[in-house]
This record gives sequence, structure tokens and C-alpha cells, in this order.
Amino acid sequence: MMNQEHRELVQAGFDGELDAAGRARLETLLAESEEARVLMADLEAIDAFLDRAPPLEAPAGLHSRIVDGISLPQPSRFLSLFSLSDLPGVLRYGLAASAAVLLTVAVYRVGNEMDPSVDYDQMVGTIASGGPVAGGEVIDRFGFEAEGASAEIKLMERGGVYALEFELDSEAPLQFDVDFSGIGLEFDAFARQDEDLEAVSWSGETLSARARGQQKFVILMRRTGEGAEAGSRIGLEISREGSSIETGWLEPGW
Amino acid sequence: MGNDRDAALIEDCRKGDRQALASLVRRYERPVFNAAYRMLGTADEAADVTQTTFLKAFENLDRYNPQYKFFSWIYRIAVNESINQLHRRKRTEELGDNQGATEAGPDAAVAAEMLSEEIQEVLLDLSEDHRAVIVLRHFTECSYREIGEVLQIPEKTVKSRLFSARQVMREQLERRGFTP
Repeated sequence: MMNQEHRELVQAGFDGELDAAGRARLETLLAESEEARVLMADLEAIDAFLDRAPPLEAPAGLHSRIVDGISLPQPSRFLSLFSLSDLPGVLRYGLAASAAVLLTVAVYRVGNEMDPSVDYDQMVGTIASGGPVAGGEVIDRFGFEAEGASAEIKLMERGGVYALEFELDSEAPLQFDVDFSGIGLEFDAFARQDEDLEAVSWSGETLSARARGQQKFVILMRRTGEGAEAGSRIGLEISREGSSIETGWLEPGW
Repeated sequence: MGNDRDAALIEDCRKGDRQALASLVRRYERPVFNAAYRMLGTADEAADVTQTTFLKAFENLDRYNPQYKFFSWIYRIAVNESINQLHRRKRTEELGDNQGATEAGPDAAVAAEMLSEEIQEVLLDLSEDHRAVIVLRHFTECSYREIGEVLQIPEKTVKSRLFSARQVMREQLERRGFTP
């Protein structure tokens, strides 16, 4: 006479849920019990019956119906290029929250390189001619925290495209001065995530940006190799209200 | 079912990547549609439930717990949506509109070509609880643990419910004179 344990053993064996010891117990049970063999045959019969139904193809057009009906956060070239996942919590969540509504990414060439015949506002998503830098390697990073302000700056590279990514959260405007002299990197493009960036200027081998609030912006660069000095660094200076509050550097590693 | 791959696609979806969305939908639309069809018995309703399932999944993506497999989560939504649809249908029938479950409808011809109606009849004769475990076990090949996750019941309950469902099915098949 089979008990509940026996019945569960047979069913679990049929469903492939037994380990080696369980399978051995089942073998013994099946050898000894006609009732167990009948139960196993019943389960196989039910399975055979259900197997008569072939898997159905989803109706034509269902895929589009589903996909078209779903809204996602507006895609950001830069959110995919540069992951937020490794940022400190507060900054990460602040940026993630703002990203959903602030993903109007505008791209500019600035300073002397600007071509007046080109509408750079229409260049969204077109800045990295060699393709996106998604998953780019972080070569070096610099971070700071001060009263009412925090920022992280990362130097990234993928496939010969270099990017300097700035993420900041600051109540008061911060001034970033970036010195590329002797690096062998040529300024290529500048991209921002929203409209709060107050000013950007490019002069010689120095870029200055002034920003406040929760911000993310990216400077894209090409490597020229010309004038590159071994051990050279990208110099950084962060100022607030005309006073330097932090200096640092990033090492490109050549 | 490629949990790591799912996790990566979900992460990309959260960043607004519609290609990732399309990949994720393509990965699960067919099994979800099949599960819904087996629960409901009509292709039109199953398609609607499949669409609603994905819509709800992505609307609530922030509530998805990556501790569980994505397909467990999405099947849970699909099964619940199917049961909700069955209840809506029942209410409609009670109001005297018999356009629902028993009416063959325009998809009957398609269904007749694609599967044995007899199988669907047997499934539809099961209670919702029994049908859900049979569908998840047989048509989506979920393990006991996964069925437990989908239906949010203990694994022990999965085993006993599955056993009961099969007993009911066996009796139905005997009445119908089915022999393997």
C-alpha cells in the first residue's frame, strides 16, 4: 500500500526532481510496488496526452503590440556609455532620478572649432564617430566631497575614443578647469545632459565648465599622440565663488 | 533560462534601451502566450493577457526583485492576469453575455488547426489552481521551486496540488476513453 511519501516520490521522479539517492529509492519502490508502477504509468499517460498540444506561435503582430505599448525611460547615450552603478548612493540616486526627465542631450563643439554652418543641437547621439563607448574602461577617476558639493570625474576609453565624464551635485555653481596640455589628447566634443550647465569655454588646451545642481556632462577627446609627454596628467581644478576648493589630476597612463 | 542575460537586459531596459526591451519580450512572449492560452483557451484573450503581462512587468520594473528569476516574476503576472480574465469572463457570462469562454469565436478555426481542442477542454475543466500548476509544470517546464515562486505557495503545496490536478486529469481522461 502506497503512502503519501511514496506517491510524492513517484511524482518527483517523473518530474525529474530527485537527486541520486531519491532516484535509487524510486527504483526500489517501482521494483517492489505494482501500485507505484501504475501511478508512474498514469503520469506518463497524462504527459503523453498533453504532449499532443504543440507549442503555439504567438500571433503575428503581438511582438510589436507589446513593445510599442511599453514606455521606457528616455534613452541616454551617456547613461549607456557611462554606468551610474558604481557611484556613491546619494549621487547615484540623484542622477538616476534626474536622468529620467533630463535626458535632452545636446552636443556642442565649442570655442574655435565651432562650425557655424552646422546645427550641433541636432547632433544628439552622433558624437562618437567610432560608435558608442558603452562599457568603456575607466582609466582613472577623481572624486571629492565638500560642504554642499560632491563630484566625480572619470577618464574613460574604448576603441580609441576617450571621454572625461563629470558627475556633480552642487548647490552653488562649480567651476571646472581642465588642463590637457602635454597629454596628446585633442578636444573633440562636449555633451551635456540638461540645460543647467551655465557656461563652457575652450581655450588652447584648457576647458572650463561652470555648472550647478545635479549634473552630468562629458568631454570627448581624440588621441593625437602629438606632444604627448610620458607621465603627463590631465590637470583639474574645481572652484566655487572664485575660490579653488579642490585640485587634482587624472593619469591617462602613457 | 539565462538569468544573467535577463538581468543584463533588464538593466539596459532601465536605461531606456528599446533593443533590450525587444530582446526580453521576444525571449518570453511565446511561453507567456502559451501559458495564457492554456489558462484561457482563446488566442485573442491570451494575446491580450500577454500584452498586459509585459506592460505591467515594465510599469513595475522598479519592484522586480532580482533575487528571483525574471521569468518567475513574469509568469506570476501572466497567471494572475489569466485568472483575472477568467473572473471577468465569468461575470460577463453571469450578465447573460455568452460571448466569452464557451463561444468558439473567430480563433476557433486557428486553434483547431494548431492543437487538439480536447486537450484544451480537459485543461479548462480543471480548477484555476489545478490548471495553473499543470500549465506551469508541463507547458513552461517550471521546476517545483519555480512554480512555488510564481504562485507564491510553498513547494510542498506545489507537490500536493500538482498531484491532485493530475488525479483529476486522469479521471477526466478515463471518462473520455483516452489511452496513451
